[in-house]
Amino acid sequence: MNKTDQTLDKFLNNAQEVISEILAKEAKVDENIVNDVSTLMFLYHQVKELLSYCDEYESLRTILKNLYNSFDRFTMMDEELVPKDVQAFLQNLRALFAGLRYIIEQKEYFEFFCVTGEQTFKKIQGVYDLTFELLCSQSNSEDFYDFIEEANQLLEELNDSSIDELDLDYVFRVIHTIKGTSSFLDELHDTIHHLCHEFESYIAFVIEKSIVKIDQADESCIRRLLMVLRIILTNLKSRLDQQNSFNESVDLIKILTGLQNLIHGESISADELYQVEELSVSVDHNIRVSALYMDQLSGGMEAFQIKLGQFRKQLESDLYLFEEFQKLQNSFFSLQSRILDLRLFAIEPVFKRFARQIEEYSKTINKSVAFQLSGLETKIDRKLSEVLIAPLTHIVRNAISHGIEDSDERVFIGKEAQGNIGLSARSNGKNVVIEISDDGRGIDLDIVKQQAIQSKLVEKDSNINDQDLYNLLFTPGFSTSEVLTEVSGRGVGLDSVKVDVERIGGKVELSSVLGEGTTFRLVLPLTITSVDCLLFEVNQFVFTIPMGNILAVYDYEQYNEKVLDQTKFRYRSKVLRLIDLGKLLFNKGVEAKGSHVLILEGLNNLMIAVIVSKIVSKDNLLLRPIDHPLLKDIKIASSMSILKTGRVATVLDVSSLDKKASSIELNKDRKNV
Amino acid sequence: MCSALHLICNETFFAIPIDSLVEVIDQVDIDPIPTMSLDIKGVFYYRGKIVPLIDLRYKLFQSKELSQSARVVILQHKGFFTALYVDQIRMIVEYDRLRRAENIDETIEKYIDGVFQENNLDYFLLNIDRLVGI
Repeated sequence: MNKTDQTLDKFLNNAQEVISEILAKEAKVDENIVNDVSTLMFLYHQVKELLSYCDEYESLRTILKNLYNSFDRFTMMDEELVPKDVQAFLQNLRALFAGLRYIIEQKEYFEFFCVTGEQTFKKIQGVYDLTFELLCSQSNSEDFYDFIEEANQLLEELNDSSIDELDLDYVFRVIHTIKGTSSFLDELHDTIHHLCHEFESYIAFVIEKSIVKIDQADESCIRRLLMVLRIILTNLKSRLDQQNSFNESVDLIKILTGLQNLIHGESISADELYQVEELSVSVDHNIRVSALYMDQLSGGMEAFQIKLGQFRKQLESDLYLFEEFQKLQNSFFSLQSRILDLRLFAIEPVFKRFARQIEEYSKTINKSVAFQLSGLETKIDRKLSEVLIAPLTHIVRNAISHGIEDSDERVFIGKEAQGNIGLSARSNGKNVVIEISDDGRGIDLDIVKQQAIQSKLVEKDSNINDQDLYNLLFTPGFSTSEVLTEVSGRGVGLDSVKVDVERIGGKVELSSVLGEGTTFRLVLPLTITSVDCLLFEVNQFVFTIPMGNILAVYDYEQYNEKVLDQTKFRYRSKVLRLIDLGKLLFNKGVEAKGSHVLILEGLNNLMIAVIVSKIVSKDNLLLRPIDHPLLKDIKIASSMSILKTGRVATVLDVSSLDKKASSIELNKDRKNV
Repeated sequence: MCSALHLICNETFFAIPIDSLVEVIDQVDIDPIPTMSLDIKGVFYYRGKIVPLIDLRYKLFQSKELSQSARVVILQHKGFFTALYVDQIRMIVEYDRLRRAENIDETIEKYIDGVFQENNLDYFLLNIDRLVGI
């Protein structure tokens, strides 16, 4: 044994003694340890003592020095800490020493450690610092939870994409983003920022030197560091899940030991890797599943459903087999429904993120706004929440900028100085309804009308109703920015809100009272993937419309007497526009025999009647957004769906049908003139 | 040397780079999308995706004649499946040099990268980016 090894061995033996002392003291004083100043002082000096063994090892010295300094802070903060935090702290301390011991015991890795030790040790120190800082952190656990969720998601995506090849630029961007998103954390900010900064600098260094190809050792080191970061985050999340206390079953020492293995081992066996991953996963009671896998699962179910549909036809002639088939189909539907449920999660994190944004945004524009959240337990599709963020941000930011008046103005008109914005969610089993309301200026419809006349969207003497005026605000390019009302600024971009919401089969409604405030109501499908739809034929081709848009269906005998001069339809006390979908879509009217009229409701109470060739069936369909660039110009559809037969049905959009019919009539009128 | 799939449209020889080629199938059940431009014949379901079918004859020659030997060529380009409806499929051809096409129709010129020669025959190499509009 050389001198270096002897010194380290001595150091570790002493460290082990300190741990034993800690355990002994801990057992004696139990929960009163916080007040046991002498115990703390003892630990304090023991660590100080250990420092003297580390002269030749700058890294060890640094980490112990920090530990020693932490005790300083620990003793100063005792009033704020609760006993369980102390226990957790001590557990961390033991883990730290165990980690140090492991490094020395693994002699074959020791040289590797000496070469890259400085940097690696910073990471270990990061593990320690992070957990300690978290113990000291008394607030913002929700922010932190969100941060971890986001960071973990980024790391998982990175992990999925870098199985074969590591894209250094991508890794750099991910770490940079995590560093950036940590900026809203308070006490933890510096530590995480520091950790990511170190990592980022290292990647930048590797990028710079790897002009042609990344060195295998560097790649291996980066992969290990990514793993370390994931484990750190998972650990911290588990701590939050368990209300800032360690679960006895969580063997942090094992995790840390595995971590050392990852950091220092040139290679790690699949079993070992599985063990570490399993340990880091076992600390979380919820299993995280990548959205990609969920999509693949839904896609697989869909393909299965199509196959079942095809089999059904073939089996209809055999009574026995058909019965068995129906049993199989029922089991499939129940499985499918469970899988669809897996996609749902509480809307709370989405709303809370907005609450934070609002707080920050209102501060930057010097407005005082209180935010009320309700219906946080309402469940929505995870994908729906992703699509929702852009329209919600748009509406909420505009409400603060243009809806809510300045405090002085509010007081002057007799309102509370602080403005209010409410964000609520509820579900009726079929839809999720999200309302964003403010108690600001409201919308002055006279000004909207004037602007519409100026923009030649309406005739000067036209008798346009309030709802139609609100609809104008969703028209692309419509803006009342010259007028100082709530509408100012809202005109621009409201069309994008409408497009975003309609693409997922939802609708937007707007209501406002001048001087009292405005409410936006987003009516969304419970999940993007499943909506009850009516399938019908138009000139032998199948189309569909969600049942939520259909108010009534009349067959030929019923509807014939309600038709007025071929273009209008009497429905209850109203006269609606009647559109022959055959003429509109294929330039050839549908045959009267077997045809039906559907009464459809679109955005903002728009109602139209359409003639279709034949009703096919009612079905629960998975709606797919139209994302292919070649199809983005479809004017009549909000989405598409794959039918059980494997055919594709276009999901017609009520407002677009009405608009298309108007433009055809307009062209006809122009020709006649 | 580069490889390309030789296809015929309106009796003219075209080629598409082999990298984007996924599969050639005989026929598919097409569902039309009304109000779309006439060069999109419709859509169909393929490997879990909704795929648009471009009528190459209409896109390049504004002609709607049907061919008995028509085939559907499925391409994967920038993450999207897109299909081409062509009159006929031949074989894989190889080329090493493209030259600029001269004295050709403006519409065709818009959708090709250039022309190459093989066995004294001219082939127009299609530009998938422009064809698919991505």
